[in-house]
Amino acid sequence: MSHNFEMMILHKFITCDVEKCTGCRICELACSEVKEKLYNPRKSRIRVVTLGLAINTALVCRFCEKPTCVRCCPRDALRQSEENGVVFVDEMRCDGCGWCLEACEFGALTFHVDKKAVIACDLCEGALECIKACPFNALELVTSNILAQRARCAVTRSLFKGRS
Amino acid sequence: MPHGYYGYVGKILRVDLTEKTISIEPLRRDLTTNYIGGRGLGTRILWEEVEPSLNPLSSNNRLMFVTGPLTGTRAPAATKFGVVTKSFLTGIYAVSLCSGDFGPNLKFAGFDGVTIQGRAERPVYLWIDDMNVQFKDARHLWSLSTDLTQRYVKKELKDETISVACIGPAGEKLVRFSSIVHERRTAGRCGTGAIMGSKNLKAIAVHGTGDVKVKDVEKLRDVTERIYKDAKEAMEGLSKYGTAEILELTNYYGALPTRNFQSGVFENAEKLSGPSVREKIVKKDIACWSCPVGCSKIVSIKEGTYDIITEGPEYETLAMLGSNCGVDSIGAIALANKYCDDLGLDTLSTGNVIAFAMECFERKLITKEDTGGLEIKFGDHQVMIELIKRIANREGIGDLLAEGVKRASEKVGKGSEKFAMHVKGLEIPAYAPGSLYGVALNYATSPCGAHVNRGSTFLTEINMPPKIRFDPRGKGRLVKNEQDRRAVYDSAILCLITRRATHLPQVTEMLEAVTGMRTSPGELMKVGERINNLERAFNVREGITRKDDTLPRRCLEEPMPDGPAKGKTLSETKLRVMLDEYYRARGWNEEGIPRKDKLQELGLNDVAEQLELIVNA
Repeated sequence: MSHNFEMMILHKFITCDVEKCTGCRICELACSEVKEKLYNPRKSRIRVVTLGLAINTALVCRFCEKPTCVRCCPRDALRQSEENGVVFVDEMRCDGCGWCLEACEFGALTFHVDKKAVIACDLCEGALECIKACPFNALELVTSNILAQRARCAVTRSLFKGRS
Repeated sequence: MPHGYYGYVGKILRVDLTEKTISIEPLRRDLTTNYIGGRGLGTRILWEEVEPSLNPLSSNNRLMFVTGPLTGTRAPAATKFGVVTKSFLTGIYAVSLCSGDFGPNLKFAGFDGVTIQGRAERPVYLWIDDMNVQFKDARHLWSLSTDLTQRYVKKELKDETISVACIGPAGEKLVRFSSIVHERRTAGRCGTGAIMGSKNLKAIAVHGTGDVKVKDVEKLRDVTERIYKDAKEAMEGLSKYGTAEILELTNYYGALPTRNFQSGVFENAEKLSGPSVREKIVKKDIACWSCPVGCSKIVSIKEGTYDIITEGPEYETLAMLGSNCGVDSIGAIALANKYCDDLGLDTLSTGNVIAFAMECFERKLITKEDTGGLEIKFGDHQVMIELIKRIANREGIGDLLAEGVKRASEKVGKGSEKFAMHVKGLEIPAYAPGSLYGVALNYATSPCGAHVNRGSTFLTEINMPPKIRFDPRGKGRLVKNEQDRRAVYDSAILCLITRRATHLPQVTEMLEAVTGMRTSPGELMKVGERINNLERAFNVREGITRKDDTLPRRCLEEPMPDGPAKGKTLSETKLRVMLDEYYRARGWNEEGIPRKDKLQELGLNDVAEQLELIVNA
């Protein structure tokens, strides 16, 4: 039984602080290391995007409360856990059509070339290897409520700039 | 695992630009056991395929892009790829390393290395899309900056995440110290860009989706995590300030090149890298592939007329385009750095050669007539930036300077050779040799010419008490060991940024975990020794002997005016003592030629035979 009340109502997911992320891609390497026993960013559940000089971030499944990927799968290969929101892929059913990849606005799903099926973050059953591996502490486990509260604080601080 | 060892992909891509053919060759097993990969691998192929006395610009010269067994894995800072060729600047062996994600991507595409030969009729670029390799027209990219080239190639191939290594206008115009640029990082030294330019090869684009498989994931993970832990403390300064962190240290120890190496202490060093400056300008940290340090800094500088957002400048650039040119404007250095990167120039050689021109002008060895009206004086940063553009375009005085400091001084004459700061034609970089005898000896003997990363003993030496530091004895063995050690890092390939937490035992553990081969620190040092000896043999084949293992007369005759070595001169006599000891430690004869028994001991029998023929001829 979980003692965390919030967990019962909101899904926890991994987010990346774009200010701290350096684009080192260690999270991708750690993920493929744990999940695949090899190194290949294209087999990682978390994916890093680097654009231009200074734009870096890591993107991973946010366990949407109403996941489009699950709804749009024509073969019912995706299922969301009621407990923690993790999206499971039934590799037998998934035929790799890629509809879910297109539907996900975060690009959080990845097509696994050997499995010929989609893969998604499953929080390592709580082990959170990417968060542990990040040397720059850019990754953390949050809920959308936590992020919203931070945004409220930030905007309030900017409104009252100069006052402590 | 076609190769027999994990870690490698087991394939070398061979590209012939004349014939427009590509072929895939297996990675020979003897190359990996004897040379690990990376620099060692490139060295062996260069030795076998480049005939003696070949003109570096000949289509028969080889240009190799190499990776190591650790590349693409989670080993800390296993991010680099190496470029190995015969240099147009020095006419001898050349290796230059570059960070970023080009190396890992090349490996994911399925290649341990690329060997390029021939010359394309018209400008081309190479597109490596996993195993699908194509030649693409690059006429529309010719004369574009490295920044625009990378952007256009990515746009053309419709993927912003591919890796591109390319040359700028300087490489096209065969500037002797032009570089190969990837992102804003460079394989800067030894003029690799000119070789690529001579082959009419504008760029190489890579996209890889394959795996890098290792023998023991758990073991690699274990070593990696230990290194992360050690790295946190040991590399805090590097993480925070980048390589510029070391500037205060080099200045303190009298090793910060100042006004063409006339001094090792710069009065305005604080303005270049003091913590307060860094605090103000650094906006964001950037890390290369799998690096826990993140030494690269995005800076935003507003200073006088300079208003610039860029990556860098690194320590060596700050020193060579800063103090060495008498420039104390961080904005000017950052802009000069950006121009060098965009045009494809090595910032170190560029700073060196401009400082040389400044000194020549101040001593009236060249006049306004020679310079096209420019007053080239120390500290004038606008002139410095103007010169960078002229060098890259080989315009007026720029054409002379584009030949490198050695050839420029030969043309200027009038005793300017004395302060032409190079060894074997490669410009001395940002650790002034006058106060650090080991550093000086490494410059004199390194296989590429004056190259700091082939065996710098800077950090070891500054921890020595002055009495030992300024004693020529003991430096020969010290430098030999450091050179051998660096060859291991360069072959694995590991970036030196983590070396304060990654020592040889950890490298051994990582190599064992990745490849599955059994080795030891001792055996790895032997590999390093083998690589250094093979590189020396290559150079001996090109006519290098003891007479070339020397330093500019400024280093040997002028006493240091400031710093801990004030009043001391690194004399001819001291250099002789160090060289003798170095050759003895290396098992080379008095002329600096590897002895037959030494080469045989290292398993280089074929090399011994070839050298014997040359020496006896």
